[in-house]
Amino acid sequence: MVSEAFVTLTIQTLVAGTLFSLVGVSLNLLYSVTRLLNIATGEFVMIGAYTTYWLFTEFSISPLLSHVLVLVLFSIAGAVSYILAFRRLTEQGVSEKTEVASLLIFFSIILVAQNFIILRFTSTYQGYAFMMQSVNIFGVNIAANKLVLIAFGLLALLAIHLLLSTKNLGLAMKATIQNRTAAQLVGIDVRLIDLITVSLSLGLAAFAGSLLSMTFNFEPFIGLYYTISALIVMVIGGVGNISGTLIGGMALGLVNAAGSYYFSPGVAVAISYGIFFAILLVRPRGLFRGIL
Amino acid sequence: MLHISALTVLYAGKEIVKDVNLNVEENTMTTILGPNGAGKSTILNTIAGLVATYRGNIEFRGNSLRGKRAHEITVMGISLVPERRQLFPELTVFDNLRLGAYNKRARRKLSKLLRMVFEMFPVLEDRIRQKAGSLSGGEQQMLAIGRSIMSDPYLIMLDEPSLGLAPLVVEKIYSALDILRREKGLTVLIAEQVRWGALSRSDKLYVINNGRIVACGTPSQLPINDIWQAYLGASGA
Repeated sequence: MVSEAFVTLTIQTLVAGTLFSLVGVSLNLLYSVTRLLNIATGEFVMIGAYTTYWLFTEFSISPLLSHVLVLVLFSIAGAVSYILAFRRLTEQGVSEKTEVASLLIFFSIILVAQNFIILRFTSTYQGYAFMMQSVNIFGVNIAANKLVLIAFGLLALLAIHLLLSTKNLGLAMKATIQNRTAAQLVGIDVRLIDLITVSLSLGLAAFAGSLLSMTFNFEPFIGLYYTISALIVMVIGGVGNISGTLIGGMALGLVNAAGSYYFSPGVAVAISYGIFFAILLVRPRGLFRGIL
Repeated sequence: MLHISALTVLYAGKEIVKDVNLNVEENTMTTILGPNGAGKSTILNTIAGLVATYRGNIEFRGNSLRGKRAHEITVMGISLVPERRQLFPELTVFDNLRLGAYNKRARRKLSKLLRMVFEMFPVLEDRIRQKAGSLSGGEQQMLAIGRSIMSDPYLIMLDEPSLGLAPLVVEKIYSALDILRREKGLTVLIAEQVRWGALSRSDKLYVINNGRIVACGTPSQLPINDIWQAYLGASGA
């Protein structure tokens, strides 16, 4: 007999872990390839959530469809933003200067995104009811939308893993992460890799937001929480280590689920930040070293 | 094959390379000699497309390299083995080599090129599943050269290939370059600090100091005394 606590904890871990992994991969992939440090990762999550909410409440478009729509739309937006803005930061090579300049850009994106959403949707909590019917898993009732969130999220993470395992594009991305100069010398068009990375990264962050809108209520300021979570996951997994990021995301999900279950959500966040701080002190370059 | 005329490269407002003319003929080995900071690396990096802004002309097999980006120049058949090797340390030896053949022309000949590299450096085949970062210095240099060969180049350029290596390993690397030129028809351009052993193998030498070519000729035309003098920068000193 599987205990109720175990089932609940597992589901909550997977829900939170999937979201954390998605934002973690989004942040880590972008940072390790281009040195653009996206402190607005959470804002893309937030806007993704509002987009799906808006499509559902205004046009009755099923969130199941919106998840894919949001992923595609924000990937395109990412590609356009690369061409318009980020290319200038990365085409002369990437360095600390790229990081500093990107912080300014992303900080302004935070302000614009939050205020735009407040104008359009006010700053109160929003949410909608979709696939609320419960599914019985080992005697525990779980909302169907949570299972959808887990399934869609894990599928996207698996797709990213497979993409990075391909011997052309995947290997070229890993090569660019490890040594940008050498990547150019072997004939990799690093601008194309940058374009794909920015596109994928922003698409994934918004996709995570779209998924969470089925399950959680949200307001214009949820972004910070997800940005910090993404940073924690990147630090656990190690910069440039995408598999480590998946493990880090699930680990943070477990801490979050257990903290919420046995104490309270507030305590769960405190524990997460404590772990983040401890890892930074002991292993500032991340728990896992290297790629894959 | 490679014609450089009136090349001037500025870095941070300073002329690192001044008015350099340099010719590399097909199927020869050419060496650029010069002390640390003379501008050798800058010349090679500019040819490879890593330095985008320069004055003067670089022509390769009849095509100007102006405006071409590094990955396009690799596709045209120029490959640089950069200073300090610049491998992908967390990837395996095999993945490093496979990345060398990233361009489409080379990808089609992947297995043939691999065989050629393993023939030249059998140790790489033994280490094929090992991470590049775990190799010894000499093995890393062999891998860097191997990775370059994988791109199926016409011209292979090496930036201080002997730096930090034991004399025996250096000898091995230079004899491999000899084979590349004699048997595979490659053209070789090397930048080195003084290494007398390398000079005898070269068809042509350029001596560079403070960004300028101060002497050039065949090894027999440029006796060691002349090279020293060029190094010291003063005639009759």
